[in-house]
Formats: sequence, structure tokens, C-alpha cells
Amino acid sequence: MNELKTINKDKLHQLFDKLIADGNDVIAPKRKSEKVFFGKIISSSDICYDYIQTAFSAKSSVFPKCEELFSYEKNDNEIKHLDPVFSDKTTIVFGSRPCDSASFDYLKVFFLKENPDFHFAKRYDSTLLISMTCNKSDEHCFCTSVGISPSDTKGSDVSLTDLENGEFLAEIISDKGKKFVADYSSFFENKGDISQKSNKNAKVDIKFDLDKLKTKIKGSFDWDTWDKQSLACLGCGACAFACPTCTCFDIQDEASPKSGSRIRIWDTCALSLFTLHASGHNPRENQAGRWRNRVLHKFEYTDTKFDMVSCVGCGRCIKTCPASMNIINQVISIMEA
Amino acid sequence: MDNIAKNINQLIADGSVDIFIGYVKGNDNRAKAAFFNISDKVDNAIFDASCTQNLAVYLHKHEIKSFAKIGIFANYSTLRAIIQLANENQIKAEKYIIQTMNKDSQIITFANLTEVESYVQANRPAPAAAMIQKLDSLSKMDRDERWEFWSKELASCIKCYACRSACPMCYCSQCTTDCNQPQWIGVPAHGQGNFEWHIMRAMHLAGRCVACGECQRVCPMEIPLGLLNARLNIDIATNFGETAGMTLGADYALSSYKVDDKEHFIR
Amino acid sequence: MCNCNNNMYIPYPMRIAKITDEAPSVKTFRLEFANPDDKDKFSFKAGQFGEYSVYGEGESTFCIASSPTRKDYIECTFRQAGRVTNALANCEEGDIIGFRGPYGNTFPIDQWKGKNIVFIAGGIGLPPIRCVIWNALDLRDNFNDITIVYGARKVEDLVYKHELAEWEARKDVNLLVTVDPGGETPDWKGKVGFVPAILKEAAPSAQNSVALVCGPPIMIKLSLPVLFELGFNEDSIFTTLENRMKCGIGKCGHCTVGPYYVCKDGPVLSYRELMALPQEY
Ligand code: SF4
Ligand code: SF4
Ligand code: SF4
Ligand code: SF4
Ligand code: FES
Repeated sequence: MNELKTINKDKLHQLFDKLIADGNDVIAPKRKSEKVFFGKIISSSDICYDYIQTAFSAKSSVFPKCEELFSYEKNDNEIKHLDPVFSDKTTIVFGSRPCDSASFDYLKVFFLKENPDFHFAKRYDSTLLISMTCNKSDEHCFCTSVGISPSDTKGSDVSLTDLENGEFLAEIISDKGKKFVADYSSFFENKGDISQKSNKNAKVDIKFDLDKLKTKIKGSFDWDTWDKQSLACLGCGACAFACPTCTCFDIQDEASPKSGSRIRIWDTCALSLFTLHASGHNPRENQAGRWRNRVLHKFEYTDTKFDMVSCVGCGRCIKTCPASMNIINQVISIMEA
Repeated sequence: MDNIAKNINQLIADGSVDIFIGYVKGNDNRAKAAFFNISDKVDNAIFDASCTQNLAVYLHKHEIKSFAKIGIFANYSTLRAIIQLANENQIKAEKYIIQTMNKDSQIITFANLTEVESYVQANRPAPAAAMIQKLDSLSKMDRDERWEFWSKELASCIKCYACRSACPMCYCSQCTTDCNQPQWIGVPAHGQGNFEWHIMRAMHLAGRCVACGECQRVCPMEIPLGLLNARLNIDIATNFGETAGMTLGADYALSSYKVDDKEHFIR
Repeated sequence: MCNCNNNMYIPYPMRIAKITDEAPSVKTFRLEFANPDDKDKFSFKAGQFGEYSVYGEGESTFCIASSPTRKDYIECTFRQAGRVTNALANCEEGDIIGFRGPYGNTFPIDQWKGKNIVFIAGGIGLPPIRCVIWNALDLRDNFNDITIVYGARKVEDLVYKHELAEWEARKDVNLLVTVDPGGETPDWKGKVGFVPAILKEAAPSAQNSVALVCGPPIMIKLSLPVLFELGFNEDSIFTTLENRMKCGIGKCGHCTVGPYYVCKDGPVLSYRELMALPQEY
């Protein structure tokens, strides 16, 4: 059993304002025009609660769209490399949904299991995830089909449930979460009834049987479903960049030969240049192959490699796709083939 | 929608088309491009206000290009894009059966691009009031304020290139932003690189943009890209008296040259 | 806490000790560690690769073309094909460039003691194999017959010309160098013909042998049936893959072939392993 507490909305906001005043970054859902994005808030009043799912995931707090790998200074033939400077403050990510938080479990394995990634590790260590379980879902949510649920707490440090009466139930999940709640104990109340949670949380129907899919998808590489399903795909990066578990990047140098930095930036297998050889040969030469790679990577390849399906069923790629591509339809077409 | 389906079925049955590009219901309240006779069921065909995507973008996709006879159910902007693509020698009209549906829900089959041209000229919608308003407020800003406005908007660009991918006029086999010898445009999605990318794209579309608004619609970051193109379209139209995709055979402003041009540097 | 204090993206500074022009737009760099400490820490095995960088331009991936038995330096051979390789080509002896590595798996050369080795390479496919050739020649007693079949389109495209002469002169190496028909010069003394045909003619024994094939896809494709005919099998034929790479350490995703990361699970694989992969290379 996780330790339970409650916190009311005013206290929660006071807590955020204090964290901000103490120099920590607080990342929370903010409305832009129609969409809600995670972004750094300067006051608790910036927080938007009216969202089912943010348009982009919270991965940018641990894997930003652009980040310096190192900087360098070069004088004649002396070269000095410098690690990027990471803040010693905590980044609090507030309002990630269970699918998003679960993605952090995957990201952790992906970035740290072999060849641990320095930059991810630094950011991950200083990030605290205060997630929010889902009281609402929409037609594109399919967390329950990939082993996650609207009430899930995995990956979170502290998991809140909106009791819709001005109070949040707080489940304290990780050691990091325990330490945090202990440090700010005055904001929390020592009570809480876990049975209140399930009344509030959304129900999400299971759309496909994951085990069956895992069996079926092996050997689907040559099927024509990929060609058929992908004709509308425009080959942009929107799906992967919105996705909580897409981790691909490009490495580029910025600046002069004398000083500058090497940085990494999001990249994706959906773009044709991703695999293009200098010779002009492209091993994944059409969009069907690229679409296939994205889907197989989520449901087959990471399962082979890490024993983890890496799609967390958030539905973001579906909502973001300019061409209305739909990963659930693709999965269903595999199941039916 | 029965008559749309009947019409598509007819074209497929009598061998007039190998593939027919139209719309079916997509995610949320959006429509999705459909490829009848290949991957979608004709019975699901729709054509209504949700069908906003500019389907002309698929005409230069190589998987589609390889079909000999292509039918397309075009919305207004798709028709304009088709004219502009023809003006730029990107498509050969003979390959296509181009159809649309007019305000009275009648299916129109265009016999040739001249008919498409008359249709787009006769049915031109009024520019969106919100866009005009926003353009107005932008032009009233001073330089610093405008700089501020765009710095803030463009900072959020993630360089997913959805704007480019969805644009029927962004068909270059190698986009300037992908050239790295020299690296004209900084690759990283931040600061200067984002400005360079958007200024470059806007300039490349000046006088070619068919005002379909796809770039803005598809931008996952809600960046109002349409403003850049709309501004340039107005300036081009005022100075050179033409708008992309409206006149068959028109040159486009930034690639044509006239001896009586008022600019000195060009002579 | 993740306790990860090693920024794997920081390269070793390397001094270009020697530049050799191999063929039109192909050069070999001999690189020495600018910091002696780095040299002591560093070791690699035949088949591994690295990321070579010009500061301000970026990184490019090539194999380490020198043998692990030569410990004072590493060598790489590259063709100018892009922004970074062009910048590298403009470097001069004494300049500092960056190197990250070694990355990837290795040829199982330790398991080849007492075996015959047949090296088959085309054009710029020789560098990854040259590493193994020198490794084997430096430990010559460990191996039985060594046969090298190497071809290029034209005489001028042959790389390591001085070493070819050296191997030619050795009695313990059977070297066959060929150029494609029409690519010969008037004074060309080697063979004329495509690599698969020369291989067939040489007919190295498959008994107790391994074959390493590296070169243009068409050369590999046509050499394989010859090898099978000679009696080589799925487990005695090896090659290396060359997908586009960025990180070299299994993170950036560029190099993947299905679930296989060329940079980590490869680049060396047997024919059997190659056949198990989807056609994405
Ligand atoms: S699926 Fe959609 S978002 Fe993803 S690459 Fe294709 S068009 Fe872009
Ligand atoms: S693949 Fe799509 S649904 Fe799955 S985690 Fe990524 S964005 Fe979410
Ligand atoms: S789906 Fe594609 S972009 Fe996403 S992590 Fe996998 S390879 Fe990378
Ligand atoms: S669609 Fe938006 S986020 Fe993507 S590249 Fe274009 S402007 Fe940037
Ligand atoms: S080169 Fe980056 S994952 Fe292989």
C-alpha cells in the first residue's frame, strides 16, 4: 500500500508558488489557444486543469527538443571540452497522466540500461513527477490496451487524484516522492481514502488484446497492410515528437571552429532523411516502411529488446497527426489480418 | 453522400481511374485523405465542411504518382493548388480526373484546367475575418513588437516539418533546410535556426502559396504560420497583381522577370 | 540516483599524424591521442568503429581501419561525401580532430585460430577488412592460409596501394587484385574482371575457413553464391553493415534494422545473422 495523504487546491498552489520562489522549475499544463501544453509556469495561476491530455508529452523535461551535449573551446591545437551545466534545483512536472508517467519507466530503461546517457540521467535525477490520474478520457485513449490504466501510478513520484471537491488524494509512490512530501509535509494532510479514487477515475475500454497482438505482429513486416494504411502519411515528425516514448535524435554542431557546442535535437524515423546514406541509398525508402518502423518499434522491437512495449496508449500521435493517421486502426488491421 | 460513392464507383468500374483520392471520416471531427480502389472503401466517402485537407499534396507523393490515371475529389484549395502545380510543371493535367462538389451539392467534373480556373475565380471565398484582423494588428505593431511577437511564436517550433509536409507547394526533392553544404539553415529547433527556417519557407512560398491554411492547421504547436504567407500574398498581389493558383499559365512573381521592372537591381 | 558521470558524447582529441591520399577523394588519417592518458585507457578490437568529428561541422562514422595490434595510433579511411568528410579532407597534418569510440561488436578473430581466412573486398570496402588483415598478419602464426581478393572499378580507385604491394610481395599471403573491365591502365599488372569472377577463379578452399566480405551491395550479392558453391556456409561468412549513424551507442535510433542496432549489435555479423534481419540496410 502506498502512503496516502490529501492536499487541497489552495495548498497545492501555495506549494507550487513556494517551489517557484525557491528557484525550482515547475512544468505544468498551460493552455496556448486550443491546445494545452506542458510548459514552465511562473505562477500557480498559469496552470490549466481543463485537459484530458496535453498535446505533447512531458518527455521534454528529461529529453528536451534541443540540448547541449557539450561545449568546446579551441585554441590553436588545444581543445577544451565542457559538460553542460545542469541546474541543481528540482524540476517538478505536474499533471502528467498515468500513460505519461509510465513512459518515464520506459525512458529510464531505454536511456540508462546500457550505455547510460549522462544528460538524461542528470535531468531524470532532478525531476519529480507529480502526476494526475484521469477522471476523463477520450476516444483515442487506449492505455488499458497496453497494460496501463487511468488510475495507474507507475513511473510517478507522487500521484494525485482530483476528488472534484477542491481536494486531491495524494499517493506517495517513490522514495523521491517520499522525500519530497516529507520536506513539504505542512502542505499535506494526513488522511485519505483510496476507495474515493476509483469512483472518480475514468473507464477506458480495452481496444485490443496485447498478447495476441505481440504474437500476430511478429512476421507482419512484409504484409501489405503497411502500404495501405500509410498512404495518407505525410512523413513529418509530428507523431514522434508528440510521443512520450519516441527517443530518436540527431547530433549537430553549432558555432565556429573556435568555440561552440555539439547539440542533440529530436529526430524521427518518420522522416525520409533519417536513414539516408551519404551514397544516396535509403534503406527505408518509402513512407510505408517508415510508418511500419514506428509501429513495429513500439509494439515489437522494444518488446524484443527491453521486454517492454513502448506505446503507452496516450493517443497523442492520433490527435496530432495532420493526416489523421491512426495507430489503433493500424493495430486492428494487423489483428484482423 | 451516396452520389459521391456512386460516382467514384462508376469511375473505377469503367476504368477511368486506377486510384481515386477523396475523403473519409478521420480522427475527431476531421476528415482523412482516402485512396479508393487501393485502401479505402468507397462507401465511406464523404465531402463536407470537415474536408479541409489539401489533397493536392498527395499528387507529388511518389507512391501516388506511379498510378497512370488518378481521380481526385478536390475542395476549393485543392483546386487552386492543382492550378499552381500545373503552372509549375509539377503535374500533367491529362493524368487526372478532377471533380468537386458545388454549393448545391452537385458533383462537377472538370473537362480541363481552364474549367478549373473559371471555377476557382468564380467561387473565391472571402478571406477569413480573423486572419485579416490579426494581420492588421500585426502591421500596426512597431518593429520591436512584431519581432517580439514572432520570437515568442517561433521559439516553440519543434521542426517537425508538418507545415512543409502538408503544404502542396512544398514539393522540393531536397528542401533548402535539408541542404548541409553549405548549411543554409541551422538544424536545431531553437533561436536563429527557427527564424531562418520560417523566413526561408515564407519566401519560397511568396506568390506560390495558395492560401489553403494547411501549414497553420497542421502545426502541432499552434504557430500562426498562415500570417506569414498571407502577408506575403497580399504584398505580391498588390505589387504584381496576381495570386497563386488563380490564373492558369501565370508565372510567379519571384521567378519571373520583366524588362520594365521597377526595381533597379534586377536590370 | 542514476550515478552516471560519464558524458559519452565528449570525444578524445586526436592529432592527425599523417595523411595519405589513397584514391580520388579518399584519404587515410593516422591519428594519435593528443592526451597520453587517453592512449593508455584506449583499446579496441577488429571490426569496431568510431565517430570522427571536425569541431563546428559535426561527426561522421567510419571503422577503425588500423589493426588493434598497432597500439600507438588509429587510422581511418574515408571518402569525401558530405559536410563532415569534406571538412575532414580539408584538415592538415598536426590538426586536432575529435574521436569517440570504439563502438560496436568485433570480428570473432579469437575463434579463428588455425583457420584459413579469405578476405573479399571491393572499392572503399577494404578499410574495415584491412583492420582484420593486419591483425591476422601481425599474429601470422595463429592462422593458416590467408587469401585476399580485392577489386575496384579503376586502378586509381584501389586504396592502400603501397600495402597491396607489400602483401603481394609476401609469401604467406595469397593476394589477387583486380579492376573492373575497362578500368585497367596500360601498365596494370593485376587482374581484370569483377570480384566474384576472380574469387571463383581463385577458388579458396572452404575447409576450415572463414570468409569476410565487404564492399558495394552488388559485389556482396554476387560473391555470396560463389562462396556457397565453394562450400562456405551461413556461419563461415562474415560482413559488416554500414547504416547511417549518429550516436554510435544505441540511442539516436538512426542505424536500426528492425530491432537490430547496427552500432551496438553490429556492425559485424555472420551471413546467418544477416539473413534474419529485415531488408533495411
Ligand atoms: S503518421 Fe501523421 S504525424 Fe506521423 S509522420 Fe505520418 S503524417 Fe506525420
Ligand atoms: S505511439 Fe502514439 S499512442 Fe503510443 S505512446 Fe506514442 S504517441 Fe502515445
Ligand atoms: S518510433 Fe521511430 S522515432 Fe520513435 S523511438 Fe522508435 S525509431 Fe525513434
Ligand atoms: S509544423 Fe509547426 S512545429 Fe512543425 S516545423 Fe512547422 S512551424 Fe515548426
Ligand atoms: S547510431 Fe545511434 S542508435 Fe545506432
